[in-house]
Amino acid sequence: MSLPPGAPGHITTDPEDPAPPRRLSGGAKRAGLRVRTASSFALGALLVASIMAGLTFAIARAHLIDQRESGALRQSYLNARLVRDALDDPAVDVADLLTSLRADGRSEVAVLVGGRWFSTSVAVSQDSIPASLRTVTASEGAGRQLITVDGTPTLVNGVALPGASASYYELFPLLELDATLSAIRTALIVSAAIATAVGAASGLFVSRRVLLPLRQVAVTANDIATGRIDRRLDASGDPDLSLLTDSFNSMVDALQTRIRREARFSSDVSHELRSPLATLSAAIGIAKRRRDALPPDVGDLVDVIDDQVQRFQSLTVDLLEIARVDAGSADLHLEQLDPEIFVRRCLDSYDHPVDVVVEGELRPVVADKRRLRQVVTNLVTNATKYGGGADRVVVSDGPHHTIRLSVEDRGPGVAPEEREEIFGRFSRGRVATSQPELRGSGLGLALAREHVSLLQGRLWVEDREGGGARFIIELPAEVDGHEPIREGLWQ
Amino acid sequence: MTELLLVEDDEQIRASMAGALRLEGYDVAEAADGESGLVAFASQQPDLVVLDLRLPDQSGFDVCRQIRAQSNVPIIFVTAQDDSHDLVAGLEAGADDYVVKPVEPKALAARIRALLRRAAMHDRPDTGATFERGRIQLRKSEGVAVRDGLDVGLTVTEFRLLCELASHPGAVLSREQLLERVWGYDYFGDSRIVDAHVRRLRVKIEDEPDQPTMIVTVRGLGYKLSGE
Repeated sequence: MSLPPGAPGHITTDPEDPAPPRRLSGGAKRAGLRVRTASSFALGALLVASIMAGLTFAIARAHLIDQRESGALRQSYLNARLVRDALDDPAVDVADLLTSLRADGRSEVAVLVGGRWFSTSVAVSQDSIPASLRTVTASEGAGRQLITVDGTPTLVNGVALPGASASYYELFPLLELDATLSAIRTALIVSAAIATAVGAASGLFVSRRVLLPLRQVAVTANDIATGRIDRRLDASGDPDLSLLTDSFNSMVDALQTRIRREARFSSDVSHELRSPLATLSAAIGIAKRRRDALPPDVGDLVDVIDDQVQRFQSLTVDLLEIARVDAGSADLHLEQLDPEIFVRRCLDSYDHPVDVVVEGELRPVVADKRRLRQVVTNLVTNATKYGGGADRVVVSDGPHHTIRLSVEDRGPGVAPEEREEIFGRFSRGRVATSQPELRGSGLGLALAREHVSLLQGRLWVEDREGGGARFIIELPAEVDGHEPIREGLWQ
Repeated sequence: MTELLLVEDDEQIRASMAGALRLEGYDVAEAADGESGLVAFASQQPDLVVLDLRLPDQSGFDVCRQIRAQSNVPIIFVTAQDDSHDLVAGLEAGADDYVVKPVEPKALAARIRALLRRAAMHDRPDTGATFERGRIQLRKSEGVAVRDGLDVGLTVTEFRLLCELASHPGAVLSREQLLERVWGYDYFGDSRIVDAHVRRLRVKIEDEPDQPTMIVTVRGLGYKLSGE
């Protein structure tokens, strides 16, 4: 479970400004993609709707005008014939004749007889009839044209009356047609707007649906990054996504296999080393008890061997423990602990008196006694080796419902650039390197940090006011009313 | 002289452990596998058994159960650190205590002394009083618990645990207190030992072990003998 710096769960050096928990990557980017998809859908819908609306409008318009034209044409021919017949009588009053024609009252008539214009309305004069239509009517015998009179589209039918050397023009204002077409236009614009909105909505919906599996990938990847390497994507989902799911899962499988293999190797190595060491240690123990029977120089040698074997033994124990954590096979035995009592008991076995200072209101922590004791013992031993001995341990309440156990000394402190480094495996600070007699296993602080991580806590070192180092263990405190988490083996 | 049986497959570890224990003044019989361990147990009738859980021919758990089936002799098993499964299974199989590998002779000797002290108290109980609760009668003078007139067959540790709870009826005893008073551990003793023994005790004396009415768990605090 070695995490790269900055990864979730990684313990930062600055306690007051913990790295914010990494959010599922790029919330802003995802919104961008969704907006883009939605606007593409909306644009597409708008385009299609506009084309459809335009076509519909054009066809409807042509059809309606066509219908109106054929009706108008019939009426015009009928009226034209009446006019022609009436003109046979030279004494006819053309104006009266025209008035009698206005049957439906919706059309206006203009007649050109012998160079004079007669019309049914003052609004209609010879100027209303385009010259081109007059020419066409004269040459072809009939003609029609769509013009605009006072802003109203108007259909003009022209019929030549050859017998009477006259021309008959009838003007049909297309007022109703215009109203109908504008209603259709409104309807089409509204439909296009609705289609665009629906397009945008389905774009949002579709992109959400499409991105949902990606979100799951992100969540799972995040889980894996925080150490839950057993997490996988649900393979029973959408068959179209099986490529993504399968390759993601097999990638994690491969990763896990590799991690396990490496962890098992170190676990095996330390395990294999343990038995001969235990035998050696027990044998030396027997030899030491018969030290009197040995020549003094041999007895001294036995002491040296005993010393080294014990170091070797604690090294393999630490190594094995770290390998277990790496392999994810570490067992946690969680219990509810009173932090003050716990610290006092830890210090009972320590040779020098160490003050226990309580600050703030303490609440119980839920922790693995053995591991936490190892951490505290390690920090106190560390202070003895490099910091002239721990002079006090402060038990206090930390921010965000935490409890802090701070082991403080008055030694040289830890240089800022070494504050992360000293928690590395087999890495020692300058002090330790320059004084080989102080060398420990090189795994103590690394293991301490692994233990604290397993307990959902953090471990870091900072300067102590007035000189010295302060190693801080921060553990989540029990929230009021919460049952302690026990391992659930018997309870 | 107190006789111990040491069942351990690794010859060198066995030799060094046996050597260390002999230096402590014990008479040590050795066995290299489960089968010969059981044979040695039957013929030697040792006062205490030290048992490795990983044996070549059969599991240490089975050996432990088979010894338990015929005797309440104190049993200490040897397990790997940080192996909850083995630890739990070993305690469930009826062991009284455990030590972790690599075995430190001093630590093992301390566990053996504590356990033998318990066994001695078992043989010569402090008071002659009896204690009754429901169908169970605790006869301290005889070192037995009787259910409906029949001996329920408590191990020395189970008997001591029940006596401890019975001497404070209605009071909650924390796991740490029980570890200290029954097993002789300090604050850092493994409370799973207590949990496992309470469970075994319940199976022997409760009507319904899963819904105990005599030895009650007080969440977050410990156990108590219901003070009716």
